[in-house]
Amino acid sequence: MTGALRRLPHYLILIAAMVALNFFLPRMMPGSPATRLASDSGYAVTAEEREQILGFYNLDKPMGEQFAMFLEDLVTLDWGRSFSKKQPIFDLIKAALPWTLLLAVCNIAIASVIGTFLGALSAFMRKRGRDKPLVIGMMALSAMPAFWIGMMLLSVFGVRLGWFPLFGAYSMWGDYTGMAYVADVLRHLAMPLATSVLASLAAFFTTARYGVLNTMEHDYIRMARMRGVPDARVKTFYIMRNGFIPVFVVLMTQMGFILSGSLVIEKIFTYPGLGLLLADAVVARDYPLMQYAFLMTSIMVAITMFLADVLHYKLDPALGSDGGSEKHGGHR
Amino acid sequence: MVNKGFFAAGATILLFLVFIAVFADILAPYDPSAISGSPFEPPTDEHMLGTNDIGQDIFSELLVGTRYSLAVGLITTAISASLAVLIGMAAGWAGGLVDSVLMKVSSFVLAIPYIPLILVISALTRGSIWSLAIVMGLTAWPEMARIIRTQTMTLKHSEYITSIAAMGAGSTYILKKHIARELLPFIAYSITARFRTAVLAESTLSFLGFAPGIVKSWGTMLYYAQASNAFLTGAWVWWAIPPGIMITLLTLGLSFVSYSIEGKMDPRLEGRK
Amino acid sequence: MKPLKLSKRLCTLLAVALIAGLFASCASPGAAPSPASPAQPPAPAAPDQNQTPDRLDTLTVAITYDENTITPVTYVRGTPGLDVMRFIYDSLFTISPDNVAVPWMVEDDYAVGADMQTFAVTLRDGLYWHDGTPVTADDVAFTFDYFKNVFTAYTRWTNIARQVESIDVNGRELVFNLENPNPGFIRVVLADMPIVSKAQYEGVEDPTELPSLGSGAYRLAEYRVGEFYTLEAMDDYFRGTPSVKIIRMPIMDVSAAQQAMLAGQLAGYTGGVSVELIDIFSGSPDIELVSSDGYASTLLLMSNVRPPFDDADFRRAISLALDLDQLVDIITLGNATKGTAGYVRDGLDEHVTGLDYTYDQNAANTLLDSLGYANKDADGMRLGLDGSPMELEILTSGTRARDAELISMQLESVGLRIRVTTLDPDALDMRVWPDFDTSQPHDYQMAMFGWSAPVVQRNGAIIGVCSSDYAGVGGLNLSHYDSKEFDAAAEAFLASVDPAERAMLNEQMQRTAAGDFPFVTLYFADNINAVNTQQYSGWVFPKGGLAVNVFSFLP
Repeated sequence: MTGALRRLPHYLILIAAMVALNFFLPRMMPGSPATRLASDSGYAVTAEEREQILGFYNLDKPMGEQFAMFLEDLVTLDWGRSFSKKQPIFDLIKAALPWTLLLAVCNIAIASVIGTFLGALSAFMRKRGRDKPLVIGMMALSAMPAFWIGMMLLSVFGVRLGWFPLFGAYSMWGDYTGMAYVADVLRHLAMPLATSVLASLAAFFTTARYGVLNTMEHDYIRMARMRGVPDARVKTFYIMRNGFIPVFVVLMTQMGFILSGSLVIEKIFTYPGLGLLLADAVVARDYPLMQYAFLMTSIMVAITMFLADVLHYKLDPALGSDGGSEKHGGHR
Repeated sequence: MVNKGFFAAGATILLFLVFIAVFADILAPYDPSAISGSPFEPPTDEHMLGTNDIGQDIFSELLVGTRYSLAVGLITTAISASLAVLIGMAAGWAGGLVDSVLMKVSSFVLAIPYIPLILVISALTRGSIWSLAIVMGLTAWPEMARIIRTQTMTLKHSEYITSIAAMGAGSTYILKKHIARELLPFIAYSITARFRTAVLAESTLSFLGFAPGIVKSWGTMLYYAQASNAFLTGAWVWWAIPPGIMITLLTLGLSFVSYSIEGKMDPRLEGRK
Repeated sequence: MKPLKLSKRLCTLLAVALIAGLFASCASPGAAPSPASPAQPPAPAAPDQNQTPDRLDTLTVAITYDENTITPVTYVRGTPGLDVMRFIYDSLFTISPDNVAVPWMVEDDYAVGADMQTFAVTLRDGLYWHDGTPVTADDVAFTFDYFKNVFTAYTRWTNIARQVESIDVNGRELVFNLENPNPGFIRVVLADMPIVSKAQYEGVEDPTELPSLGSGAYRLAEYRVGEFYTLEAMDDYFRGTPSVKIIRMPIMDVSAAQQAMLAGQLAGYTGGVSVELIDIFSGSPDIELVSSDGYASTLLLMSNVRPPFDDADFRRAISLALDLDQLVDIITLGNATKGTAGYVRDGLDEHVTGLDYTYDQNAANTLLDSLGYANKDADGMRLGLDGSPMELEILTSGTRARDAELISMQLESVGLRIRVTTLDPDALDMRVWPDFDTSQPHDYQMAMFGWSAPVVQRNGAIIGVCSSDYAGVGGLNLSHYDSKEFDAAAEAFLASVDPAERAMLNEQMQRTAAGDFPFVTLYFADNINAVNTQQYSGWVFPKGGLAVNVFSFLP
């Protein structure tokens, strides 16, 4: 645990770097927000009016001053209003975040369990060469673009069969309560979730399979077998435990992709999460909204990485024990 | 002997796709840019897969699109895999400050929302397919680097390597001759993953409508299929499924090959058979 | 051993299920597509069928963008935001379904001064804000002052309010005094400005935080960001009780709306029908399609200050090489009207006949040869005047990439090598119209562009796109077309209040511009609306507008 906690400063630095990047990156984008505010009015905008609009949002101030104001607002949670949606950004993100978290957490939970299980299974079956169908199936799955899987699911189960709703996270005027509400949410979640699980399954499968195959060769496993430890025990306690450590490395790295990829999936299914908000903000060049949506995504990734790190330390006996930390002093 | 089968299957698929890419001009019944029919024709004898929204032959687009995906995949993978191997091995072997700094950088790059980032940069560079590929290459290394680092660390402390080091072998020698060799199956495996990610990322960006210029890629075909409501008109059967299958085929071929390499390059795994 | 075996079986089962699911999703497309029959819609908002035909309880129509709280101070975009704002806010005049400005909040007898500088109107009785308080002439005067002097963040309202110099209020009577004569005042100003409540806005620091409060036929009962609006009818509305009690407006993009429309989940939506879906929509018995002339244009801009486009003859050669019929046939599947070199399309009062573009590739080739571009490279592409290879660039955004693709092929067939660059819409604006300030230098050779209907429809519209007063009346002249002849006619037109003289000057302006080809207006896409007549029958189709408009719900 102490090892993991010692890595906390690393994540604080990471988050600080994210804050800086998230401020500057959107401002490097082509297109000015003044254009957005005026473009649909059908009137030309004079230079004087443009200054007015920019002044309204402090964009005419020097970059440094803008950054200082940004930091102050960030800390005081005064995130301002979105250009394009004309709503408090905090409210927008607060509304979107739960849906993305729901999608991501269910995705990670289901994909890691199924993926790891199938991965380990195929590793154990490898000796008899019976893992082939599983491996081929997983390879085919991982070869498909997530958005394409989504398009297919949407068109088959949504448009053609009508089993699942085509958009949204719940029925708008359903007025459901209790279990009916949960069922309604799950029905809306089904297709986006299925898409993201199918898309991220292979990463867990591959890593778990490789990890288990590797561990099976370790001397202490052979020793255990020679000592006559029952096969099932060797598999569950010795091999699985160590073979799965790489899975957490994947978990760490997958979170970024899952959140980045949720942009496409949320867009296809019009699922009202952070990804859709971010996509809309990018299209609208909505600096403030983009800034905070990026930031929230980045911070969520950083937090997941930290949690995965903590788990990593807990699970890896070599890293977890004091002696281990000593031995792997370089691992920070 | 399972692996030989995989290798043969994968190589066949890849060679087939490379063949299509090289001879696309001859194989394609039409110039994919030419208006060779009316818009939205269903499959006919003249147009195997019908025509797209402006009357171009979908089958010809599909064949010529192979070039684009292969090119973007190759460039991106070459850049990101080289970076990942160098950074991952350096961090895993050196440890200490080097490891700490490199991993900080990698976790930083990893945590950047990938698709918006590429969007910004390609817009700033007035994108061509090359700048898109380079940007994707420069941003796609961390995942592979981190895994290679973990593997390098594991190997570094394995009895096999520590005993070689104890015999007085230099770091560079060990890294080149032993660690790299030990990592090869993993690198091969990761390269497939990179290639796959590159092909998928390109098609995703194109699908979202951010393809630079007018390109005939599988992703842009899917973009136009979606934009033209192919799912409502029924045209998706011949318009959206084939590009998806081509993308799947390409990455599947790569996975097959790397799977067979994985077994071949790891003597311990092979020895168990 | 035992638990493992069990899990093995489980895993096999899972794998089988997965693969089976996979095949199912891939295999079922093989079946004949039946697009118009998405079985049993989840129907989040199926209309109540057991209603009297006169008064419906609820109707669901989609709004294609999130338009914020739909108040004048949180206004986002014209279509569909303004169309929906007309449900909630009234203006003194309104644009009728026949596209004429007619009195709305004011009595039918109003007076216009002979000098076109004073406009006297009388506010009608029986107008109430949604909170029950009466609308007064003070509210009207406050609205204009507020957007002119206090809340100036929105150029749309501020530009409108600035056209009023002062307002005299006397009881229910209002007299608008103008600095300059303005024959279009009623349409552009009085029929556009939504009237807001003085009691609500006066002295408020941040009006954008305030809830919606209008005097219109509907009030905004609920809004969930990014999800939906609920509009509730004001039963005692002065123009009559609205025919639907509750209008539900889920926010979804056009393609989702079209899917939902086909599934019977929507009665209408605030967007057009994609041309490739026309057949499917018209095949559905519940859906009625109404097509009308569109006024929004699609055009090919050329920079009149960038060689080789600084030569009017070169621009003429481009226009000769363009096959507008092909564009109309392929891009819009025939659902559009070709553009005219006179800018103003037929169907509008100011249209001048006989100014059509000519398509003649031979003439284009001859002209290009004579201009010094006769030498060609090995591929048959023309070289520049100095003998070096010449490549011309067309900028486009995603939605018009297909137009650019076709145009590049058409131009290549007369030996011009073209590069198409796809940019996102804002990046394109940055190069074509930097900071929306036309007086700034631009950075393009050719670009795909479009003007919205109001820019094309209003009187003297051609001045905006052709006058060389870039910082003033020529604020939309993105080509930087500069003609003394045109400017003189434009100046005379703006100073004139005599209809006959204005008509003559208008024709002169169009003929001048048509001879110089500052840009090529490619086509005006038709306005195609789809509504479900089974769920609701009261639809009104305004000229060039949306079926989802407040007139559809008023007696």
